[in-house]
Amino acid sequence: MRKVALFSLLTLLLTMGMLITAVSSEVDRHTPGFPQSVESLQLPAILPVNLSDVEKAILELSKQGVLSEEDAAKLKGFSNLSLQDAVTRIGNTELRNSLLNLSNKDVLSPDDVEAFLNYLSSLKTSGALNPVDELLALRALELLAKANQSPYTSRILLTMLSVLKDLETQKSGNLTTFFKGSLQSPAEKVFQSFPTLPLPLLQLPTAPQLRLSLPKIPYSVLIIAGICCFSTIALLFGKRLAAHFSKKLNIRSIERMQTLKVGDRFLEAYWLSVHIVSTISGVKKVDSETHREYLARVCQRLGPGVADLFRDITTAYEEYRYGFRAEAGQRVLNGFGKLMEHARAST
Amino acid sequence: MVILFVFLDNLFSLGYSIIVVWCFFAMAIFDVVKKELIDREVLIEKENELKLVTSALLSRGHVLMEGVPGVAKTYTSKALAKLLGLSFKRVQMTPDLLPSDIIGYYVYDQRSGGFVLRKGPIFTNILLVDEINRASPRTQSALLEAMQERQVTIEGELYKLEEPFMVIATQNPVEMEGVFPLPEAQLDRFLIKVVTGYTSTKGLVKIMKNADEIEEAIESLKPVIAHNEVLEEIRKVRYVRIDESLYSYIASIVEETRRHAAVRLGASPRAAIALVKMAKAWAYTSSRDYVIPDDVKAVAQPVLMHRIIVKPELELQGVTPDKVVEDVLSRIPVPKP
Repeated sequence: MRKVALFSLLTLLLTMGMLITAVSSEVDRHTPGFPQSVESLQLPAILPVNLSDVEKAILELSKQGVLSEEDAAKLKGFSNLSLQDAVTRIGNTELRNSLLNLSNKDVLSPDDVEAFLNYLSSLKTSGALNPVDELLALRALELLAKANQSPYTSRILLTMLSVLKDLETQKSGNLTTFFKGSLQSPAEKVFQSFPTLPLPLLQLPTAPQLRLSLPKIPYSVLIIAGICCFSTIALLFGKRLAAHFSKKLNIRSIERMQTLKVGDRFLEAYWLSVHIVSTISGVKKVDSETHREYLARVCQRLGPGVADLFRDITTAYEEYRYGFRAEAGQRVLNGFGKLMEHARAST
Repeated sequence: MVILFVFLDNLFSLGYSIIVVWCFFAMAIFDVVKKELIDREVLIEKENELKLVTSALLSRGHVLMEGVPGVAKTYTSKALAKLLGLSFKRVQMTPDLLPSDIIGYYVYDQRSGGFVLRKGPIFTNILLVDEINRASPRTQSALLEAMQERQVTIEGELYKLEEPFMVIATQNPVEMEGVFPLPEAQLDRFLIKVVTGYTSTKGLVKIMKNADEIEEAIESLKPVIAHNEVLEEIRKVRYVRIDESLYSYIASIVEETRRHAAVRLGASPRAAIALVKMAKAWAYTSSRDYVIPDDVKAVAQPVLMHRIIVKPELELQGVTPDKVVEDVLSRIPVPKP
């Protein structure tokens, strides 16, 4: 029985292990520090940032005095500026010429946009570009990109916000309530993830976290595993516990039992003795079994004291029952009394 | 006064019981046989067979011994006869053996000028009939009639056989050519069938080591019980007590052999009587004057085995009469309480 229980426990553990392995196969299998997939390297196709957000930010900065009146005037009606107006308002001649050259192109390729953004970056790094000119140049570029249906529109808008953020940071030293309040949560996240340096403005993927948590196991698996564990424990130890309690109950029930309805107290004493030893040993008497056959079988499971006692009872019972010796009846009764005492003491 | 009377009465009754029991088992036949043959290793690993044959003798029955040659069938019979102070004769059955060769015949005596009876080997206490199935049906019938009636008729004259009279017939279960198998009715005449098997390796080694000594020991066996004492023992067995419930138990066993699905012919009422007789004798040889269910179970196989005929189709599947008896015994409840 124990071997069977251990075997079932091992089978259970193996099954659980296989299930856990199957579930944990969904865990990311990538080197920490690298993006999880190629998709994450691409810019988000749609960002919840539009031109009105940029204009709102400009107005807010103007109110806070981050932008001078002259700069605010240049950026007035930012969202409604035409390409010509935007280019006209740019103070940097070189930049203005570059934009005009760009606008003269029939088709604006992604490489052209990329090259212009790099050009803006280089100008900014060299200090030859002020933020207002940069914003206007970006507005003009955005108009050109939109006209050519370039996917770079969103990136340009984000760059605009980045410029405004840098402007505010330079003036106030920290982020103002505007960026916390006016920008919506997804945009804010993107914004906050920007590097301190203005360019390149590629959204860096967030560093993948090392997951040390256990894989998710379905509830059904947990319930089945629980039932199996309980059954195994019950199989291993339950029988012993149950046998112990049932033994106590059975022996107490004998004490309460009035008679076995045999009509002979000596015969009753023998059959009650059979009941006691079968309770103690867990070996039940089969109907087709003779008294000696049962004695031989049950003695293998009884202690030497009880076995000798039951042997005497059986012999006396045979003498009384089949040998018609009345004096043997008393021996059955005495043996039964001793057996009861032993049973009470042992339980 | 009353107390003294009761005390004395109990004392006397107890003393009487002790004396009765002592008398009953003072000459327990099997104890003597066992001591001389088993304990002294004259017969090795043959205790059960010896006990069965002794019980059959005490039940006034005949024994059919089945076993391959060389498993001490003759030695067992011979040793038992010598120990019990009984006369012993042996007949080797052959197809040309005539009934007169067994029971005897009249021959003309020139000196007296008349016919004198030449008694056959059947005029003995223990007759060993070797390979009974080799004899012609005619001879078998003559022998079996003598077994049943315990008397023979020669030339119209009736001769009673001397008591105790027991035939121990052997048959080889392997050889099937040139034999006349005993019909069911004749098999029923045998009280028990004892299957003698081979000894264990340990026993075989003992036999090999002491082969000469065993032979000498059997030849030099002296009677330990007188002839009339054996008859007394047989008489005592009749008084072994058997409870009413055990009669019902035996009846259930016998009836169940008839109802069994694998059986073509079950045990007869004669089998039930044989079971009672053998259970009594078995109890007696176990030093008891009462029968317990174990006695019935112990002799059920030898008593019923040769009386049951299994259906041929099931026989081919390996169902044997002893398996049927075993199955029946495992199904019939022992008397309760």
